Order: sequence, then C-alpha cells, then structure tokens
Amino acid sequence: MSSIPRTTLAFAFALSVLATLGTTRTAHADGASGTWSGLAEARGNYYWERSTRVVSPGLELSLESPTGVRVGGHYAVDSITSASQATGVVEDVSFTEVRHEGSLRGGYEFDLGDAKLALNADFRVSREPDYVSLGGGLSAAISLDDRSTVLRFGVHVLRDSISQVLRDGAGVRPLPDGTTTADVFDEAFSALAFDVAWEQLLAPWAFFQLSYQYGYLDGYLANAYRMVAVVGSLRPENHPDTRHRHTATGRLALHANRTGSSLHLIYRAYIDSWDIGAITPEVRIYQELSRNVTLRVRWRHYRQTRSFFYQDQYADELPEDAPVTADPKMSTFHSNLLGFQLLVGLGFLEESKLDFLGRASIDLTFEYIWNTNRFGNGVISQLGLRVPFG
Amino acid sequence: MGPFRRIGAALLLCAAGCVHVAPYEREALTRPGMDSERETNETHFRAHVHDSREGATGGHGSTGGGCGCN
Repeated sequence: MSSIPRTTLAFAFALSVLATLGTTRTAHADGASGTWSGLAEARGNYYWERSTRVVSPGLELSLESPTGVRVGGHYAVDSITSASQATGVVEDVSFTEVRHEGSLRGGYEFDLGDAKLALNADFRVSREPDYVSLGGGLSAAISLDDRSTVLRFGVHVLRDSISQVLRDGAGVRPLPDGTTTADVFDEAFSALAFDVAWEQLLAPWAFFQLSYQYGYLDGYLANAYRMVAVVGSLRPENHPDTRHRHTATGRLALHANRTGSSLHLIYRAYIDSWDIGAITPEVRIYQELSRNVTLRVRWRHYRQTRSFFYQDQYADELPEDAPVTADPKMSTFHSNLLGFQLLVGLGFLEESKLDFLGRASIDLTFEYIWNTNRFGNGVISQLGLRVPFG
Repeated sequence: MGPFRRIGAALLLCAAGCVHVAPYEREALTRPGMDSERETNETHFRAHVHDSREGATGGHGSTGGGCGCN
C-alpha cells in the first residue's frame, strides 16, 4: 500500500474518533434535556490475506426521539490493495483503490396497544473508481407480548454499475481501434431480496432467531478483471446473467448467570441456482471476566460445493459465450475461523471528568481464517468505540 | 422422535405463546454476551469480507453485490 492512502486513512480514522467524541458531548446534552437518545460508534477494520489488504475506518450514528422517530447513518472508507490472485490467473500486478460508502435510514415505531409496529427505510451508496452501487430497502418489525416475540419482514433492491480502470494492464484488453476495453466497458446488474425473521424469547436467559432470505440477481455478475485459461489462452470470465439465492439461518443463545457465561449456537444453510451449496456452523462463547471486561471466543466453519461452471483451467474448447470462471470462491473449499474479542466497558469513568463516556465500551477483535482455496489464510482485526447517550 | 424434531416442536410451542418473559425478568438478556445488537456494525465489515471470499451470502443483512470486490 502506498504511504499516501495509509496517511489519509489514519487521518480519517482519527477524525472519526474525534467526531464520535464530539457528537457524544453534543447529544449527551440533548439527552439530559430528555429529548433524544442514541448511539455513536467509530470503528477501524483491517483485513489481510496473501493477495489483498483492506483498511476500513467507519463512523455510525443512530438517534431516537421520545416520540419513536429513528434516524441514522454511517460512512466508511475502504482502502483495498490487491494483487494477482483477485485480478487474474497469471498476471502479477498490484493496485490500490479507495471505496467510499454511506447510508441513511429512518423509521418510526407505532404503538398498537399490545403490539408495536416499526417501519423503516434505508438508502445506501457505495462508490469506487470502477464501481457504483445504489441500494435501498423497506422493513417492518412487529413486536408482540412485551417484545417476547418479534417478526421481521424486509425487501431490498440494489443497482450496481461496473466499469474498468487501467490497472497496469490487468484484465484490460486492447481493441482494434487503438483504445482498450477500459474505455468502453459499461455493465450493470440489479438485485432484489426478501427476508423474513422470527425472534423469540424462550426464558429469562435464552432466545432464538430464525431467518430466511431469498435473493435474485440479474445482469453482469462476473468480475470485470478476472481472466480464466481456456485451452491455454486467457479470456474474461463469464458468469450466467441470473442467480437465485436461498439462505436460512438459526441462532440459539443461552446465558448462565452463576458463571457470567453466554453461549451462541448459529447455523446457516445456503443454496443457489449455480449449484453452490454451503453450510456455516458457528459457536460463540462469551465470558464475563470482571464487571467491565468480557472475553468472546468464536469459531466458525464454512464449507461449500463448487458452481457448475467452475474449473481451474478448461482443457476443452468452449463457445465464446460459455460460462467460465476460475474464481476461487466458486470452487469446492472450506475454511475455519478462530477469533477472540476483548470487550471493555468504560463504567469506571462514571463520576469522573470523562463521565460522558461512562456507558461507552471499547472492543478489540482478532480473528484468523484457515482457508483451503487459492485465496489462502486471512486475518480480520477490528477496534471499535461505542458510545450510547441520552 | 429425533432430537432436531424435538427442538423444532419446542420452538413451535414457544411461538404459540407458552413462554412469556416479563420485562423485569430480562436482566440476563442485557448482559454483553446476550446483546447481539451490540455487534451489528462489527458484523457489517466481517460480512463484507466473507461475501467477497465465499460463494454463499445472506443471514446477516447483505444481499450480495454492492462493491467491486466480488
């Protein structure tokens, strides 16, 4: 990664932290007057693997009025440094690009007597030099029986526009008129998703969540740079134009007061129209080490089958429009993730000069991924500051 | 009846309203280990990583797509 993006990102993250603290002071005053409550959060994220590094600071703000109006938004910037693994099967190139992402959301909760109905809308935009994504959604949550039962429904739409930029020639091909595909590359795809979820308290120390999501994608679904070898020569990868995705997820959470321990058992099952089937069991254990410190240990296993058109290399001649890909995430593989998080509540600052941080918390996360495909092993690390107020 | 069917039957009984947890009984549900909303933003970045490195998606609010990292 070049030094300029790193400096810029460090500055952006410092600004995010300062903005969080500044927001806290202002909104805390509002909270004291009994008008608004909310949450400010600054988070630094880092991902590393052999071919890719991502540094991503972000800022999140949520506000709720006493009348039930909820508004919020977030901003994040990714600096992505990537090399040949993600861009093609033979070119050894490296590039750095920056992605900006922002979102706004609003909603209102209606009091229906024994039930509550929350309606929400959100809008999201993501922009990078060769990619623009616009998305939005509507969701509803019905809370029953003093919120012992919550039913959620959502619909989400997405429209992505894809172009090419010159990355030292990777994936960009010359055209007969002397220009390159980067000058004329202009693709797009749309996505539509529906989800339903059911959350249920089982006891004063247990709850479960079940959800199902259907997604439909239509348009250019390949990577604009990734190449694949067909009978020894490279051609751009080609994916089918549509994809149907089904995901079901369940979570059971239990807490033991006597030991201050919580256990979460999570399972996700996935299948799509490209013949990829995947399972993702996960276990999280939370242990309160003291009044203000909690340790989380997390293990996640991921296993999938390959898409019907994936091959490392294609030995037989294929028509130009045949679906082909050497994308590692379309192959048969599995991964294991082991992670640790330390969560520190700042309650010890109450009744000090930093009393406004008395309900805040800091979390530090380190997770390592063992991956059997060509992406290789990876690391996810995060540092977050959460400040509730009002 | 297998163990999974028993768990499923128990969940359906809960949905029928057999379990009511009064608000004053929910202290344990506010502990850090039971507050899954606390992890929403942390999950957002992790889901972004998994979406760009795995064929599956969903279950954490994402639909696939949304950036050029696929």
